[in-house]
Amino acid sequence: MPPIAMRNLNALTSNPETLTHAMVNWYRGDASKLGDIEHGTGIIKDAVVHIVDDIRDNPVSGVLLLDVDPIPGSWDKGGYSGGYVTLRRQLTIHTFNGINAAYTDIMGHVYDLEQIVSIIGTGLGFEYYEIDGIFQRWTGLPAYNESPEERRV
Amino acid sequence: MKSIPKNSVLPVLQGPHCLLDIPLNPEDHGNITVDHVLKILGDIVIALGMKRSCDPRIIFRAPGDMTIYQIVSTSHIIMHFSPGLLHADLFSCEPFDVDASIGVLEETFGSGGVVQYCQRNLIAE
Repeated sequence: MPPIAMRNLNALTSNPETLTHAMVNWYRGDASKLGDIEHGTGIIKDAVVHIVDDIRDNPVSGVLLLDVDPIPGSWDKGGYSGGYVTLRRQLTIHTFNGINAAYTDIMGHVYDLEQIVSIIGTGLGFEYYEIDGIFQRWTGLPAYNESPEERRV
Repeated sequence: MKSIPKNSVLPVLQGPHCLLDIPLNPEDHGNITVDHVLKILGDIVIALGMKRSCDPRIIFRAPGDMTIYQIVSTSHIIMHFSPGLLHADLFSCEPFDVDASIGVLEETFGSGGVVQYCQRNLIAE
């Protein structure tokens, strides 16, 4: 079966009144970038505006990435885990420097998956990605707009 | 950007990625407080046998309308509470007891949820 064209996946993730959760795996990344939290934070900030329309014109804050220690004696050389999570939307990443690979998952009501894949892929130097899963559920809720009343606890 | 070519390679990282959508009764929203979701998160961490990597983060709008985010040593636990729906994301790079973690949420919010499950595989070339 041929892979689903990204434009068709993007049609899924641009469907209001649904939650779409896309799981993407990445390979052959740039090892120098997969353990660099400052660089990774910048990439997440660039990508996240495509799941959060209402902050597109504002600085993105609240990206949280944490160092992950390597497993001694294994192929694992560590990396980082975290991402950006807000009400009803998320963009998370877990990198594995030992194999230059990463997991990401992206969830929201309306988002541009093609742009997000492009920004992460280019920014972290990945050669390949694969869609590990894409799940969608109709909620009947309107596409979410962040409220100034929202606060981080 | 290219999709990964399929060839004969072995997975090196496998773990469950479980999504759970549970309808919420609007009358119960007022009871879904920060303290309540922190308690639920703690129960899930115990059920999954995971190790927290940091304090949990909560993005709060109102009772019943908030998100809680916990990075754990092997991935993450995220719960999005919104009017009428809980969307929970339980992910680990290592096997965990999916039934036990779902059980924690169903005991609290009822068993009318829908589970979507993906076995994540990250392969070595």
